[in-house]
Amino acid sequence: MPRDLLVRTLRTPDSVVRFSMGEWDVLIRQARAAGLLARLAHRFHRNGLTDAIPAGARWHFAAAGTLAERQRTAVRWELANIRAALADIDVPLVALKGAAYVANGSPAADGRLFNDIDILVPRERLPEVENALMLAGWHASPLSDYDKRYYRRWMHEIPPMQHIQRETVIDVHHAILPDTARYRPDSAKLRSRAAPAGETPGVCVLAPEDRILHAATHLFHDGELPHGLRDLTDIDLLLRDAATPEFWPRLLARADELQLLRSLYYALRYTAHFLATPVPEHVWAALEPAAPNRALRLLMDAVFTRALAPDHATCADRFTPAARLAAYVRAHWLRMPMHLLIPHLVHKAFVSPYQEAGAPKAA
Amino acid sequence: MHGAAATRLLKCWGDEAVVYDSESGDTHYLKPLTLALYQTCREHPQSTPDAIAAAIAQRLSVHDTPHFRELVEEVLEELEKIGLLESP
Amino acid sequence: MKLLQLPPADLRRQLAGSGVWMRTGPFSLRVQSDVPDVAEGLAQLYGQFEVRSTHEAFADFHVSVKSTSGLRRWIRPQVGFDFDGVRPFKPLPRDQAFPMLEWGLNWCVSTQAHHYLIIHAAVVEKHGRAAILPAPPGSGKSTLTAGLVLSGWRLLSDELTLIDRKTGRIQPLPRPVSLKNQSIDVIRRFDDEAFINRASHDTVKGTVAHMRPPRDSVLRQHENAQPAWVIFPKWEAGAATRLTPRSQAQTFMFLAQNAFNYSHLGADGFRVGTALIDQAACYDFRYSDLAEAVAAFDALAEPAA
Repeated sequence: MPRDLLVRTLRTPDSVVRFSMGEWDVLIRQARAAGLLARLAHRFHRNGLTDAIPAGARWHFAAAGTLAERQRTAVRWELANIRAALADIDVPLVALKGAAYVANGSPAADGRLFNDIDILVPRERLPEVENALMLAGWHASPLSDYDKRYYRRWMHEIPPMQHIQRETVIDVHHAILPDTARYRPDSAKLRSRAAPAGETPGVCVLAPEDRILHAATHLFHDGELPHGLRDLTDIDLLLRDAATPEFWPRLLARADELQLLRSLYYALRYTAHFLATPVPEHVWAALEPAAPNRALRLLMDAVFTRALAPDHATCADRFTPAARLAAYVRAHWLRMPMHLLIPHLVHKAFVSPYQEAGAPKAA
Repeated sequence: MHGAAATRLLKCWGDEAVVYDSESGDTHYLKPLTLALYQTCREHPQSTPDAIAAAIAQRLSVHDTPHFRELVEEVLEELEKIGLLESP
Repeated sequence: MKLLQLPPADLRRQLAGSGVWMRTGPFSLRVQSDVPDVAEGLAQLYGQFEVRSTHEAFADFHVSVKSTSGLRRWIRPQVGFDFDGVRPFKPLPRDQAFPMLEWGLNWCVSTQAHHYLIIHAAVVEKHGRAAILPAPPGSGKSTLTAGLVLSGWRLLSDELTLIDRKTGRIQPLPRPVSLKNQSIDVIRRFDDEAFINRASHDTVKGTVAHMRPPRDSVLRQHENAQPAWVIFPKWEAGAATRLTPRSQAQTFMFLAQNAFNYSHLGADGFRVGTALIDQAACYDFRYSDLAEAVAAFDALAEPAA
């Protein structure tokens, strides 16, 4: 049973017409672990393949679709509430990641599952924003003092805020990478190119190239990769939606301006690898100076082809645990100076253990 | 007052009702007075709270006292808060 | 093939190996376990359910109840429930391995099966009409359910009432009936032929045991049913048996708040729930004597002359 069954199906949905029941079984389980069951259902629907799903397996896709749709409504409502909460202080509100895809009606919103709502506000307005949100019912999530300090001092967001009734969580960012990161794109530059979201009044989204760069940076700098493949599918959909001849030079120029060429390189390399995203030859040529050397490239391939795969037993080989650890450490290394990194990792491992009873992974 | 319609689903059983708000995903219970008020408002849009109180009092065959008016105002506020009614 | 046709040694071996494929109601399972109590519980309580002894390729839920590793296993051994790599519960003492499987299977259905509106209620059927019995813990719902199915009512489900979103009909899932604390003795006295397995003690719910579902209920598990009543049972010492009508709107609100996935279904949850209440007569039911309670239900179910 191929470890990359889900990936191959995303690339070539038609292949399912020849699937055995055993393959459907593994496909559904890999997709659920990756948070992609609904996206896969959507892809089948768009390709007229829904009838190819065996009768006994159909409910898994339908149930996932129900959840995705419900979450999409919830995100819209949440954005409306955030907009209302911030109305009095007149601060530009930029939605990021999943929330942005919904706000804009982007194809990347279809069949997607959402965790938190991410927004970007100017750093100097952070205290006002935090206050306004607290007045409207969001309060800081319970975090240890250490984690709180970590967030405020090193991260590019304040600790997550949870709404007291709805229990929804907002991540308020002031930059897309922490102050301590090695590469620091200027968040004012990003905000200056933000445009009103297609479907949601009062909310802006980053320019298409910036949205892609943010997704790329988040994926290759943020370390926690529970939704690695899902985030890659976001980037793939964004690229396919934006791809015109004029788009690529703009994307490259912007990546250069924001010092994010390396992240873009990895994003394109791995979306092409996993999802066969079409990338013109001239783009690879233009990225070559920013690409890692051959040895590093091979190492990154070994790490990311495993760390980005779904977190499911059928997708792992014996190097997968090491690869995931390497990806995690690398991301933190990129975000924090070495002398801060070790105390943080040590603290996480020995001082704040937590029980494994996480939230149900529903589709 | 007029009813905020299309995104709200209403289901009545006798003199009680339940409402679903498709924007927020909230579900509400309307006790008899609340339902009667809601229906009266929908039948007579643009009325003032006083006119509504009078109409309701008649409908329910109760006395239109100041206390009753207060009650009506409270319920109208509730309906507004859950988005079923909008003040002009 | 039925599970009772599988030799016990084979059952244990398969469970400890690549797992046993079985079907419960509309859901297929692949179950693995290295704990003898789990094999015993399955053999005693799931005899009438279908298994396949050859490796079956597709299962809705891949689950396991296995001993956890580490130093604890020598002092106070524990077991963990796993749903395809997800562990929704903390480990429990090994004595609770079989109830843990039951709770785990309920968890799988209630968090995944959103093609149903899933109400936290027991549901039983007679003469083609189903009575849904929602009730908070401690109301005697399971005792009443057990009493009814031992007296000719069909068991549709003990814990999860599955309402098909497309048809509005109830899909049976007649798994073992869980009994707690005093109910275990009450049911043993009510019918000494009822099979109740060995109890597990000191669980979060107290002492817990499971009753084998009636053979007929399992044989008819693919026959869905029309909802006719929503009845809230409450056991009260010395109370006279009484059925009183209750508000449909308030019943709907209770179900919406207590269903596992009402809020996940959006407007369709509202549609299915209100359609259910439209078809169902809603009652409160008070009782103290189980036999009288059964008689009251029988009278209610009697077709009009």
